[in-house]
Amino acid sequence: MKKIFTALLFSVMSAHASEDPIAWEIISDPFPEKSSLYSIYHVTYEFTSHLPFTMPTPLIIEADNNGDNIIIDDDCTQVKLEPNEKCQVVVTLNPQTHGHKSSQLTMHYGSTVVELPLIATTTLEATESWTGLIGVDYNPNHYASNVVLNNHAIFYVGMSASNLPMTNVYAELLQLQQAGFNTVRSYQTIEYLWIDLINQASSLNMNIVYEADIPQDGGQSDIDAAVSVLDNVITAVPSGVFQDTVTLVFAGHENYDGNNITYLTDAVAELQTALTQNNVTIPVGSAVNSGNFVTPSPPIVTDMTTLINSYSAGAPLAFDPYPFQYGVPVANAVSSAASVNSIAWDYEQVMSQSFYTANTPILMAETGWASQGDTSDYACNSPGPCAPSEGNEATYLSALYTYVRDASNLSGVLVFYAHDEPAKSPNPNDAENFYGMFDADCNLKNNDTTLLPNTAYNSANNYGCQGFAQGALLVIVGGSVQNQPLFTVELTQQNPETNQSASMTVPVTTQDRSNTNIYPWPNFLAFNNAQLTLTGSSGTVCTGTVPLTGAPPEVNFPDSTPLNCTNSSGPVLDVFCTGVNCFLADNF
Amino acid sequence: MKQLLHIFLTFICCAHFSYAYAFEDTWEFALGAGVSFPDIEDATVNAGDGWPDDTFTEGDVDAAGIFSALAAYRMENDTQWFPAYVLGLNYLYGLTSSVSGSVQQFSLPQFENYQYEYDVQSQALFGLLKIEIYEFENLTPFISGGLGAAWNHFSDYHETANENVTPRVPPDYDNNTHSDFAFLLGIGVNYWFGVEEEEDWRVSLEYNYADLGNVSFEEGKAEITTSIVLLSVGYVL
Repeated sequence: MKKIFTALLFSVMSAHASEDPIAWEIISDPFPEKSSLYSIYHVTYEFTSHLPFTMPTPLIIEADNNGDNIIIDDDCTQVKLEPNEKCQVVVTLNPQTHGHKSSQLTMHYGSTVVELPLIATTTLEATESWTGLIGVDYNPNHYASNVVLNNHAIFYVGMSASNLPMTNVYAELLQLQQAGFNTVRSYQTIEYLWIDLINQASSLNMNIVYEADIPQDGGQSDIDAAVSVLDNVITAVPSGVFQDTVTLVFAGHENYDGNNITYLTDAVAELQTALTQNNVTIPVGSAVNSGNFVTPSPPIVTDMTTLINSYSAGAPLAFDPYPFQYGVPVANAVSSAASVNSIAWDYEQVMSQSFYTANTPILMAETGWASQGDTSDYACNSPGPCAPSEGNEATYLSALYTYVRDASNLSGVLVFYAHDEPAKSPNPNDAENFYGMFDADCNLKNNDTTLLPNTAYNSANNYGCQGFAQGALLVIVGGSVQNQPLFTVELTQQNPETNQSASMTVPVTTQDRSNTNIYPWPNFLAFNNAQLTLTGSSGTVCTGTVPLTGAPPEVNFPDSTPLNCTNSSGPVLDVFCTGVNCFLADNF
Repeated sequence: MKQLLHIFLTFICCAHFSYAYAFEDTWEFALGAGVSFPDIEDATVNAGDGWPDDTFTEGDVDAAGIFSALAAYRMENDTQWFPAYVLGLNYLYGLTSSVSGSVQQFSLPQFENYQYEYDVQSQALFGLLKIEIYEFENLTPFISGGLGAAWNHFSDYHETANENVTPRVPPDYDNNTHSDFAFLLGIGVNYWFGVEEEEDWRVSLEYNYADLGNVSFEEGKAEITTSIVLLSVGYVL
C-alpha cells in the first residue's frame, strides 16, 4: 500500500494524458482473411503494464472462441504485472472445418473489463483453399541410396500415442503436421505407397495432393497405368476416404515439353474420368516449369491456354518458381516485385498472361532454397553467386509464408522439400539433395524453427524418422497369398538414437496379396537384437532375436534360421527366417 | 401551540420587540418556476479490491428548469420590521440535467482515459422558515432557510474512451434514486398586489442555495449542490 501511495504521489505530478494502464498489441501477423483447413495460425498478443505500481490483483485474460481447434496459450492470467513488465498470450487456430472462425480476448484487472478487437478468419473448403495454403512436398524414400529403408517405402515403426501401430509415413506426417504443414504433395508410382500415405493422412486429418505418374516423354500407356493405379488406390482406401483426404490430383509435374500438349490434356481428361467413375469429385490440374507461366513464348501461351482450359473447375494454376536457382538475392527473393525472378515478380508476370483469369489462385507446387551443395546446374551462377545456406533457406521460407498468408496475393505454396534426399542426385554434393527443412534423419536443420510455418514447433517432442536408418526392414511372409490367417507381429526394442520405445504389436489381417503392388507382405523396422514374437491363429507362438549386420545395417538371418515355436493348443507350426524374411506356414 | 410558536418566532427574530404585537394568522400558497444551476463535486469510485479508486472529475452540469410549490402557515404582524413569518413545506422538482466530465483511472492523471456522461434529476421537500424582514410600500424582502430531504435520481450512464485508449466495458451502473439530507438557504423579495385594496397576492423573486446531498452510482457518490433562481406567485388566504 505504501508503494502504491508513493507511486500515486509521483504520478499526480505528471501531466494529464491518456493511455491504457495495461497496454496490449498484436506482435505477430493477425489471422489471414482466408485460411486453409488444417493449417496452423498463431496470433500473439503482448500485454504491458503502464501502472506505476505492481498490480494489486492479478490480470485475467478470457477468450471467447468461435470455431474448432482454437487453443489459448496464456502466460498472463493470474500474473500481477510489475511496472513495465510484459506477458504474452498466443491464440492458435488449427481449423478442422470450413467456415467462419474467430477469437476475442477480454482483459480483466480490478473492476476494469476491456474487450480486445475480434480476430477472425474464414476457413475455406479444401477444394477452394489454395489461397493461403502452406503445404509441403514429401517423399518417404528420403534416405541415402544405400539405406535399405528406401527399398520399401512403407514399414511399421512402433505404436502411436493412441497405442495403434504406426508406419514410418504416420511418424513423418505427424512431425510435418506439428511443423505447421497439413497438406502434403507426393509423387508415387506404386499403389501401396499411396494407400498408406492417404490412410495415414486421413487418420491425422491431413490432406494429400496426389501427383499421378504422367512422365514428360510418356504416352497413352503411361496414362493408362496412372489411371489403373488411381483406380486401385481409390478402391483400396476407399472412395470416401479418398474424397475427404485428397484435395487435388496433378496429371504429372513439369512435364510440358512444347510438343506434348495433347498428351497432357488427354491425361487430365482421363484422370478426371477415372475420378468421376469412382464417385470422387476432386479437381484435376497439373504443374509446369515456372518459365511456361512466367515468360512464355506465343506458342507456349497457346498451349498453356489449352492446358489450363482442360483443368477441372477449382484446380489452381500451379507452377514451380525458384528464385534461388536464378540467383535472386534472398532479401529480394519473395516480396520485391521489382526484382526479376522473385516470387512477387513471377506472380505479376503470370497474372499478366492472357491465359490467366482474374482472381484465380496460383499455387507454387514447388519452391525452396537449398541449404548447401553444388549449384553448377543452376542459372544462378551467371553471374552468380548462388547462395545456398541454411540461413538463406530460413529467410526465404519465412518470407514466403508471410507472402502466402496475405490473401491478396492469391497464392499458395507446397514447400520443396520436407527432407533432404541424399539419393536424389547421383552427385552426393548436388544442391538438389539439400532442399529439406529436415535432414534425411528428420532433424530440423540447425533446430531453426523459422524454416517452418509453425515457429513454435518443439523439436524435443517430435522425432519423425530419427534413428530409423539405424534399423532395417524385417519382412514377414505368409504361406498363403490369398488366405493367410490373421497373425500378430510383436517387436520389443528401443530406438538407439532417440532412446524411445520402438516396440510394436501389429495384427496382420487376412488379405488377398496376389497383387503385391497393392497389398504386399508387411515390413517392420527392426533394430539389432530386437525381440520378435509371432503369434498365429493356430495358437503357435514363435520367438527369436532379429540380427542386423553391415553398415548401413540389414536384417540378416542365416539361411533357414528357426524361431523358437510353441503351441499349447495344437500342433507347432515352425517358422524359418532367411535374410530379411521370416516365412509362415499357410495355416500359421 | 400557536402561542408557543409566536413566542418562539418573536424570541429568535425580534427579541427586542415586546409580545404586545398581535399576529394575524393566515395561510399562504405559492407556485414557482425558475432555473437551477447544479454543481457536482469530484467523485471517487471503487476500481476493484486493493486498487486505487477512480476519480470522476468535477464535470460540467447543464442548467435545468425547476418548479416549486409552497404551502405554509403565515403569521403577519402590523409592523414595518419583520411583518411576517412563514413556516411551511416547500417542494422543489428539478428537471433532468446532464453531467459530463473525465474519468481518471486509479486517480492518476496519466490515465485520464474516458469521458463520462450521465443524467441527474433531483426533487426535495423542505420544512421552510421564511422571514419577511421589512415592509417598504408593496415590497417585502425576505430570507429563508429549510431542512429536509432530497431524492437524487441517477440514470443513463455512458462513457467514451479518449484517443489512444482501448474502450473498456462501461461500468454497468444501474439507474437509481438516492435519498439524502438536504438544506436550503434563500434570499428574495415579495411584491404584494391585490384587488379592492386587499393585497393578498404576491410575486416573488428569490435566490436559493441548496445542498441536496449525494447522487449515487453504486460504486461511488458525488455531492450535488445547486443555485436556484426562482420566480413565484403566492396567495394569502
